[in-house]
Amino acid sequence: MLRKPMKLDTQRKILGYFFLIPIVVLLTVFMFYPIVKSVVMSFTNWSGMTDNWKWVGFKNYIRIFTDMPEYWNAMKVNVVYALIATAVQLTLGFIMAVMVIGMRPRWQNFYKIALYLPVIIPAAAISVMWRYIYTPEYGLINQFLRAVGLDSLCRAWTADPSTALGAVIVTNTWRYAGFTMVLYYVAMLDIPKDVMESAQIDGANRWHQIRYFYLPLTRGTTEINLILTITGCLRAFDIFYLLTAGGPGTSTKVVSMWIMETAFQSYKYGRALAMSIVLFLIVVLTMAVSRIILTPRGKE
Amino acid sequence: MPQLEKATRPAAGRRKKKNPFSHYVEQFVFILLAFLVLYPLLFVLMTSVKTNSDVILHPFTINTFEPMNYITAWNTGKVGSYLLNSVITTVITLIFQVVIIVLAAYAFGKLKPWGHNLLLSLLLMTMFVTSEMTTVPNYITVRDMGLMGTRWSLIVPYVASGLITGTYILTNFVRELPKELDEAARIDGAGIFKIMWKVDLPMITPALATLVIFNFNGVWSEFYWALIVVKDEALKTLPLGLINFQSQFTSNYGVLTAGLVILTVPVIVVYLFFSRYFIAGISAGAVKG
Repeated sequence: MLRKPMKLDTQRKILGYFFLIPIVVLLTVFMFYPIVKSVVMSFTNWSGMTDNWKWVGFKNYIRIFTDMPEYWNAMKVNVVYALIATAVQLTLGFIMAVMVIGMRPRWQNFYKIALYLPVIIPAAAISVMWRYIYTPEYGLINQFLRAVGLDSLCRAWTADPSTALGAVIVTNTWRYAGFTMVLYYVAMLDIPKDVMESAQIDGANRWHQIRYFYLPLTRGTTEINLILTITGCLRAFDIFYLLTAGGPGTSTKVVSMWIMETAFQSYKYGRALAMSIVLFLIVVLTMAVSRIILTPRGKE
Repeated sequence: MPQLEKATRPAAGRRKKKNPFSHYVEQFVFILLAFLVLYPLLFVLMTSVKTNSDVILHPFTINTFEPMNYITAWNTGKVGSYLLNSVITTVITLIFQVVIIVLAAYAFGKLKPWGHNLLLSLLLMTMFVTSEMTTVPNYITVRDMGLMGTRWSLIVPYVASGLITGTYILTNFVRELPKELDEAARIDGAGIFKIMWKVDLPMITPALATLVIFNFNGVWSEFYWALIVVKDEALKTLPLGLINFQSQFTSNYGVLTAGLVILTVPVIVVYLFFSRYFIAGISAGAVKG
């Protein structure tokens, strides 16, 4: 109590370092060290099983860009998936948020909680559930189509090359639209109520509200949603692995799946690491580009 | 959504009468959306207590009650053992995470040792690291630490993976704690640990709850890492077990969905119980971050 403030302050700062030891150790071992190691070993022919490896220079990288069409085919799947899934998810999420925010508080609560429910369900459960829904014989969708007399539309949704990717997108949208919605909803809560009300008194209709208030005032959220969704789609693994396993053929095989196969089935760790790093750079680049596009110009 | 563009009605404020048509269209669209989201869940729940013939004959309704599905899933499908593994793994992971995150957030938000800002920014960079970059080296680290074949092969990397987002969110809360209470407690002769435990910790409990729920969800559902490291049947967690289970009961929809329900119910219960923290956490984590 009678200690000088300086002294106490120093004590607290030293204690601070002790408090930081666990997090620094864990993140160093499981985050920083792996990154450095990944980068270094991507220049070797390491198998991952033994300690024998040789430097191969840029061979792994050159191979990706010149002699690995399957990587870029998978990337194409990722990109198509990312574009469609992001557009659908952001549009639906935004519309749902606008609708929820216009409701009475009790209904707002109900919908907010209900629509977010799929987000928390484990991927394994979602995929088992949707595989069942897509099953040709007794799946929910085909049963429904038969019940309304549209038998001709029935198909094996996840085994048909023309619908497999669509099936994944539908499942993904079902899973994450609520997440996008809640982010928009939270941002819309920050818009002062009296602003909206005076706009209404001035005769602004619903479309005007969206066009002049909700859309521009949630721009930051759009940016976050866009970046989260696109980068999530580029790195997608679980839902593809569990729902279609990359099939039929390689029509839904995504990049992460190739990386995993190269590393853990072909035991070409060095090459798999180079593939990871290229994917990582593409994700970072996408993030940077979307930020540049979305940042309002002329505000410097 | 066409009805939004078509809506030319004056504002539907509380002071004005609502246009009945567009109001009903909106209501209808919304009920449809809620139905599309919730019906698959209800469908799974219904299927899990139906006999297989009922599943095939009456897909949309429920006419039989077959709780044996759950018993079959539990015993033959080993869901009981998977569930136990998931509970143990999740609880241990969360305990470690909470302790480490509270200490770190307290250091970053309150004690502020020299260089804390630089260190925090450095640690925050790991948020952008993708799992593809870390999976392979972490596999080797875990193997070299001799953790393979034990629960710790899951727990240790799980603890590490959930730290930074949690620390970031909690640091922001700790930073905004009122200083006056601390000073009052200090004048009363309380030491730093006592202030932390008695004064500050109770105030960050809501933020901590948010964090626990989020990380609970992440660990409970984790699948990718578990798929790579766990080869031992006795250590499989529920998400991994369910995949086995799917091949074992391919056409036995009742048992399959019963397994699904057992995997999903804990997350839904936790979510419904803490849903207000969930929403708060999303805004704290994503929007303000």
